[in-house]
Amino acid sequence: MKFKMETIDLNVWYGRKHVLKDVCFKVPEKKVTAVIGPSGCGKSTLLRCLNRMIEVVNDAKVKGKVLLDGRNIYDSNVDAVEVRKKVGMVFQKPNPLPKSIFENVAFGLKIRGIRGAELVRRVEEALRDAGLWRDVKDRLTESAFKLSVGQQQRLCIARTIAVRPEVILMDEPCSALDPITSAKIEELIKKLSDKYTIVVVTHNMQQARRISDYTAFLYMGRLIEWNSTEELFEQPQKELTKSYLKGRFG
Amino acid sequence: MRGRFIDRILMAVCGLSFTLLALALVGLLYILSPGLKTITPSFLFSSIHEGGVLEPIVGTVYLFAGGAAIVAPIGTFTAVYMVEYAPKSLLTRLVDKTINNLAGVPSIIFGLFGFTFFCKFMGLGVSLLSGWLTMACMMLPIMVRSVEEVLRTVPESVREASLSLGATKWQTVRHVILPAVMPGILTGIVLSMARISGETAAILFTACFYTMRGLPRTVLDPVLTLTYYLFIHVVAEPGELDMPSLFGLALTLFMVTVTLCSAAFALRAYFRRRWRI
Repeated sequence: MKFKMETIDLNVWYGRKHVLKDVCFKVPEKKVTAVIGPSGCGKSTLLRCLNRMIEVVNDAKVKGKVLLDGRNIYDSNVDAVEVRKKVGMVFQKPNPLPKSIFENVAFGLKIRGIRGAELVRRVEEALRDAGLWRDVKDRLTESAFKLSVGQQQRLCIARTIAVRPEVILMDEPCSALDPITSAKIEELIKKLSDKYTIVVVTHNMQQARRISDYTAFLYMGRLIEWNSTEELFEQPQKELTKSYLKGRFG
Repeated sequence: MRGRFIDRILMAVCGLSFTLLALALVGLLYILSPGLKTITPSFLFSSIHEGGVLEPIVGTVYLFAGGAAIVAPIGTFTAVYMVEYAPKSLLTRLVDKTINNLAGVPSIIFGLFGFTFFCKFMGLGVSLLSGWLTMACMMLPIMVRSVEEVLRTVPESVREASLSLGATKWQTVRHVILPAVMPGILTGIVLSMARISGETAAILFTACFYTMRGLPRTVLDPVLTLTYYLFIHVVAEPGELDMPSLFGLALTLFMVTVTLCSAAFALRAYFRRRWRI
């Protein structure tokens, strides 16, 4: 098994608050890895460390290593912008750019210097892959805010895959959506795992079980257990994992 | 019982204030109404030598446009720096507060500053250019503040979306934030123009000569504005202009100011609605 990303003794502080403690986490290539745990356990923080979006947060301090293809993305000679070009992100709440539907997907391509016919082709391809093309093909110039919330989240996924990142991070991508739309997004995540390495943060254990190949359980800033999803759910090794899965706390 | 009593008093106070304001407005319109008959195309578009106000109107437009052209880019970039780039430190907060306080400085002080700095020290003399620069100084705090305000209405999630796609900070500002706040920047320009629209003191010794005849030919020529022209005829040389013309002049100025302010409020209202998704 090849690991696309890996964290080594990752520690994060927000001001004085120690939110991630010695986390060693592995992300297998072209698989879906789920991160589960109760709210406030540091799931989103861990995810943000993987593309250096943590640096956008005030007062955040990171210590430790995060390897992408064996190279530490926090090395002083690595540019955060380059990291984010390889590691895309989908957020909890759909956050379309204040632009048209077309421009939302085109933006990431444009800043990579893609123009003209190639741009149009790539936008269409991304919207098709995100299962949004049929809904929006006649209204590409409309504002992205006119879409429903579920469609907005698909648009956010479309703009992320349009630039063909190597890894896609998803921070509770379904939490703002209704069950039917969630199911569609879950399906999409599974489909995308043929081409991409995906990390999904979720507080929904059933969802983790349905969509992921590997699962990590995080509790109070520590990585308690990491295993294939099947084994982690069927035979958890740690007491904490067992009680969490049984719903004793959450 | 007591609550209801306070309720009634409050309502009476509010009603009274409203009535006073309404009365003031009616009074203002009544006083200015003799000027209404004066405002004809021939009054607006003929030279001051023929009893018109063409030069002051054109001069006012020159002064506004030039001041706005100077302050728009400077104010926008200052605000972008303050909101998007500056570290959230004590110094940043101090500078921010200072900019705010600058908005409250009496305009005559700006006038004195403009006179000593632009006219004398920089040797620009009493000219359109000195007027522009002095006006720009007065407009800057309003411009900076209103652009800052709209920049802060852009949700953090929008910046994150752009950054997470691999955009640099500048690409985010240039291609995502600035286009989104463009209406807000326009509002800022109009608001800061509204601030100087009735301005007399600041241009009194920096930009205007009553004795000047005709329109300025270069930026180093002095200029005549509506406010200054009115000031001259009310204070310096009363009697030279008849009453209806004077009121016509005042009414023209009043309408220019009101139009600018209404435009600013309309733009702002439009913009505030946009982020409510």
